[in-house]
Amino acid sequence: MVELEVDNLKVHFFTSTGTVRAVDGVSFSLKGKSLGIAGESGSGKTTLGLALMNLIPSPGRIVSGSISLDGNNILQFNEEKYRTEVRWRQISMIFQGAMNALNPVYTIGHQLMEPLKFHSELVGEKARKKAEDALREVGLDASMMQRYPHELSGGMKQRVVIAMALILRPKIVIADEPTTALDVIVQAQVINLLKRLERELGISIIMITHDLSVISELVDIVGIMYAGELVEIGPAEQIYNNPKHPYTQKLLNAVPRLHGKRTKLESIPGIPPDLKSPPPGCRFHPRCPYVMGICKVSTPPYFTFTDQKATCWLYKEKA
Amino acid sequence: MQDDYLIVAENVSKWFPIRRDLSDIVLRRPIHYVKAVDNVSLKIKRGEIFVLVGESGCGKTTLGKLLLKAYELDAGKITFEGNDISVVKGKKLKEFRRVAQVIFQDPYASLDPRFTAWDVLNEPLHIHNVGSTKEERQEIIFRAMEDVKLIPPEDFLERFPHMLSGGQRQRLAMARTLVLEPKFIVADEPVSMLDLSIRAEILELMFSLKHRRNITYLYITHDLSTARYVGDTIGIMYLGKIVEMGRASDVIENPLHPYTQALLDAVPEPDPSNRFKERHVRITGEIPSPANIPSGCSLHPRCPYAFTLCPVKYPEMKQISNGRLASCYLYEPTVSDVKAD
Ligand SMILES: Nc1ncnc2c1ncn2[C@@H]1O[C@H](COP(=O)(O)OP(=O)(O)OP(=O)(O)O)[C@@H](O)[C@H]1O
Ligand SMILES: Nc1ncnc2c1ncn2[C@@H]1O[C@H](COP(=O)(O)OP(=O)(O)O)[C@@H](O)[C@H]1O
Ligand SMILES: [Mg+2]
Ligand SMILES: [Mg+2]
Repeated sequence: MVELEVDNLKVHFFTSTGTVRAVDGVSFSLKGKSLGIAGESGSGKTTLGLALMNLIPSPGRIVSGSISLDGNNILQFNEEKYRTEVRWRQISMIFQGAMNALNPVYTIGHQLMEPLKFHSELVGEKARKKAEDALREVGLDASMMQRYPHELSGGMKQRVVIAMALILRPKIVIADEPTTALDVIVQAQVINLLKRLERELGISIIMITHDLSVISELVDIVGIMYAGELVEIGPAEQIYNNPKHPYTQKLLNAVPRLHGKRTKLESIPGIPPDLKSPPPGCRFHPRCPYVMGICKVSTPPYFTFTDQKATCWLYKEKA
Repeated sequence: MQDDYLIVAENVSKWFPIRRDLSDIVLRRPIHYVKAVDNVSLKIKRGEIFVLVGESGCGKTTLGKLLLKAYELDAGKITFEGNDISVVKGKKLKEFRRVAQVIFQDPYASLDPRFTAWDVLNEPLHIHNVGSTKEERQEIIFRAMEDVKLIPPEDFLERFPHMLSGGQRQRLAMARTLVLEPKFIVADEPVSMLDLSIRAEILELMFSLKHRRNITYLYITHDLSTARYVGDTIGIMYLGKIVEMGRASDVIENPLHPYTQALLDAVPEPDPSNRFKERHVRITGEIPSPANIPSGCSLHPRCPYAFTLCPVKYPEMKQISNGRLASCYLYEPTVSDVKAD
């Protein structure tokens, strides 16, 4: 079981109009469990995932912090070492929207073997065998190798991109919005599949989504991102039943439920800040119902409650 | 009483011909159709929110467009306040276009980027000749902006869409419909592109407008959880047909049609104890292409019940109990005794 530790990670995009602080001081650790990262559009979820894969596109850069696997800071690896030892091998990713980005002119087999191309020992027959095994793991037939993307349904395409992430048997799989483009019945099938893979292959899944319902179907630990920061993280039960951060609380009150009492849905006034010039202090303070003087000037640290932590000044006294 | 209904659609269909290439024409292959909407009947009461739920491609948008006369019908009849909309012309048609409006899913694509908020709201007034003076128009525009909480209006009038948040854009799109004093609005997935934290305000706004302005809605969504929050009546659509209809709470609490049951099985809920179990969804596989709809009841290849008659003949929509409609042989004892192998 591999241990992932992310410490004070910052990823910024240096655009012509300013610096976008997309991930701004994120820390967490993970061992043998699955993690969900939830947050609204633009909160930095995908950027965090790409950072773990060391695939931040320009004009972005990891500006500070560390990412360690079993104690080795992989950010210090050069690209060659990262490519042969880490990416796809230890950590892989199902990219947001990948199922709709499959190349129409290549067969599924061709695209599935993409992660193998930097592994010279895995060519020809060996490579094909790996790809077929991966297809079987996601419930597809090996004959899928010869087909083209347009011949596949949405659910099948999503299974193909999941197979691609599994091909080198990684220990951690990042799944970025893996069900967002799917209808609800296929979504349930894909979530069932991810559960089975987690159990049978012993992988840790890092599920990224804006959907707090989907995430609760799968993960043990939930982290909530707001404006580039991980404002709360803890065991799923704690986050859903006893959220500490006002943002988490408000967000959960906005989730429509299918059963139970039909309580009024809440919305959070205002909008998330522009990450080029986030507000000083706590980034949530302009929208927070409990805002205090200190929130406007000073960035709250994590306050810890057994295995849950949240960045909110409300807990200063209790700490 | 018929008067309670603002809109009545009877056996309406819209079939889109599938494009044929030259060889199809030369070989005289028959024209094939996508049966986007196929023999659908529904009634929408004045002042209610009728929610149309279904997976993508099942025909929701097409049905919404038929009700707005944005497409011509291929079969059937639609009446609005008792008038057949396929024959209205001239002044009456213009009046229909004013009182029946639409809000689209994508608040980014539905607003012209070169128009300020003022232009967006003034244009429909101009087209429909509403308000004779600038003052009169300003009053109407301000009232609509206040109704959708773009306040104070002066702060927003000069803004272009890119200067508005997603929620504000969607509210501007709602204001655009309100300036014309609509009676009926088709809201086609109006919140599915918006972040969770601002969805509730748009739904809330719909409720308050329904009450304050007595607006009737057709609300289109693929999300059963929001359907339950906003809906008075729910219609479940599968491959061009409405397969079940009833009061929103009844349909959610006690679904009759196997397809509705399966949809409900699949809906995720924000409850972490769900991760310890797999979801059992009562139907298997994926929705077939609407260009290639299975015979009889189109659900039959995926349905756990599938009687001998199901692939042969479509089950007519029947009243199952008070106010509950479904089209399924499960509720016809003589048919449901005979199981297909
Ligand atoms: N290549 C890029 N260049 C400049 N800015 C970028 C780039 N990629 C992302 N950003 C910015 O970084 C921030 C975080 O983006 P990210 O894609 O990580 O968000 P997200 O949480 O995944 O959102 P979504 O839910 O919409 O997928 C946003 O402000 C975004 O505009
Ligand atoms: N203008 C059109 N021309 C041809 N086919 C169409 C047109 N509009 C919709 N369709 C087809 O009709 C079916 C139903 O589409 P639509 O009403 O948009 O479904 P939904 O809104 O439920 O996703 C789909 O197969 C779609 O491709
Ligand atoms: Mg993303
Ligand atoms: Mg649609």
